[in-house]
Parts: sequence; structure tokens; C-alpha cells
Amino acid sequence: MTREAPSPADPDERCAELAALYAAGALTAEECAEFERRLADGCTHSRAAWQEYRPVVAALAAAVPPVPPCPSVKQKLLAQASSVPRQPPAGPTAQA
Amino acid sequence: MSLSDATLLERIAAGELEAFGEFYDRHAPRVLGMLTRMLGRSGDAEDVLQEVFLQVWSRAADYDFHRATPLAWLIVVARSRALDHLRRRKLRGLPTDQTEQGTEDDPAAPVEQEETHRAVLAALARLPREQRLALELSFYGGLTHEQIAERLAVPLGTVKSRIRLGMGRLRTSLQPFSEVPSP
Repeated sequence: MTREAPSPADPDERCAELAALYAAGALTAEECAEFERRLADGCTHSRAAWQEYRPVVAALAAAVPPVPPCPSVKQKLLAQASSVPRQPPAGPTAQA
Repeated sequence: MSLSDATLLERIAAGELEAFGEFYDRHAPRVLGMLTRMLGRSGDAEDVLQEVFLQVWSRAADYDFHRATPLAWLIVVARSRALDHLRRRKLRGLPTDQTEQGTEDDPAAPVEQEETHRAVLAALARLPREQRLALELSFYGGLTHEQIAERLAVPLGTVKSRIRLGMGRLRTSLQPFSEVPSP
């Protein structure tokens, strides 16, 4: 029932599919890496497709009621942050 | 006047703890809400919240204004850390499924009056059931399209289509609430 579906042959279509599934958090780790690599490499189709879905990512997060963290979390975090060494900027694949 | 997220991230990258605290205050409740939805109401969600913001602190210099708004970046980072956590739970044989918790009928959920929140819930509610289910399983449940296909016993291509159609509809119906471009 869950056989591998063929990926779209059209590169634009592939970018659009990856962007939608990336935004929905539905990609496998390998596909996620593939899409982030496309973004990092400056693929215009991927960037354009991702730009369209970014607001939906924020919106889906906004659909969940906010939960105020316990105040001690911030205290611990600030204490940890002041002792964490800053990492030099990584390559462009470090984030979406 | 409060600083924009992008300015705060620049200051965080420069090592300003005060900016980091402000960024945290602004977004932590939203991120924790999402993590709680994905991971349940244990202390795990707060542990992951700390991981997420520590990553913001240490990697803020990598943030690319041209590729994502600060909020979209933060959500992607948070989801990624939550999925790591779910994988670790699975390896330890602990339950990973939080998808039974619904947004609409969660009795512990406070009544939200905020306009965007209502608009998103309404847009989700307008989706065909199978599209909404696929999106909930992926975005909040942390399942990949392969896992969703397995769980629902439908072909992979069907799951991909449902997600794409659902995302497309949400994009259209949420157009008025579109993100403000980063300066």
C-alpha cells in the first residue's frame, strides 16, 4: 500500500513538492537534507517555493495555544548561555 | 518601540544576553505550545525548549535573513529538535505518539481570542478531513509522509498530495495574515 511514489520529473515540480512537505514537517531526514541543500545552493525554484510556505509554518505553530514556560527555564537558559562558547558561523546548510 | 526579531537576532549573534532574553520572552510560549503538542505535557517539552533556544544563542550568526523569517527559522529549529527527541524516545522504547491530542478539543487549552489563532483554526477546520489529518500527523505528530502512509494504509503519493493540497489551501486562506518581511 505504501510503495514509493515516483518523484515528479519536472524539477520545478520536485522543488514545489519538497517545499510543501518540508513546511509541513513531513520529509524524511534524507529528503530534508536534500531540500536544505537546494536552499543553500541558491536554487531559485526551491527558494521561491519555500517562501510561499513559510507563513503557513508560522501559522500552524500559531494554531496551538501558547504555553508559558516555568520562569526557572529562562534563568537556567541565561546561565547556560553565558557559559556556552559561541560557535563560528557554519556553512549555509546549517539552517533552513 | 520594541525591536524587530531580525534586529534581536543580530544582537544575539553579537553576544547580547539582553536581546536573547527578549527574543525568548517573545517566542518561548509559542514554541513551548508547539513542543507540548508534539511531545506531550511532560517536562520533556521544556527540556527541548532549552535546547532550541541554546541553539538560537550559539548559532544566531548563521541565521540567513534571505532564506527565512526569524519565526519560520525558529519553528523549523524547534521541530527538528523535537523530532530528535522523539527518535531518542523511540530508541529507548518510550511512547512517542502525541497525535491523539487535538487542538480543538483539548480541555486544558486556554480560550484563545487572538485573531491569527482563530483564523488558523478556522482555516484548518475548513480543510477536507483527510488533508487536515495528514497535516496534523506531520506537523504536530512528527510523522514523515512514509509513516503517515503506513499508518493510514494509503499510497505514498496520496499522502503527498493531501499534504500539498492542504498546505496550498492554508497558504491561500491565510494570505491576509502573511508574515511581515524581515528588515
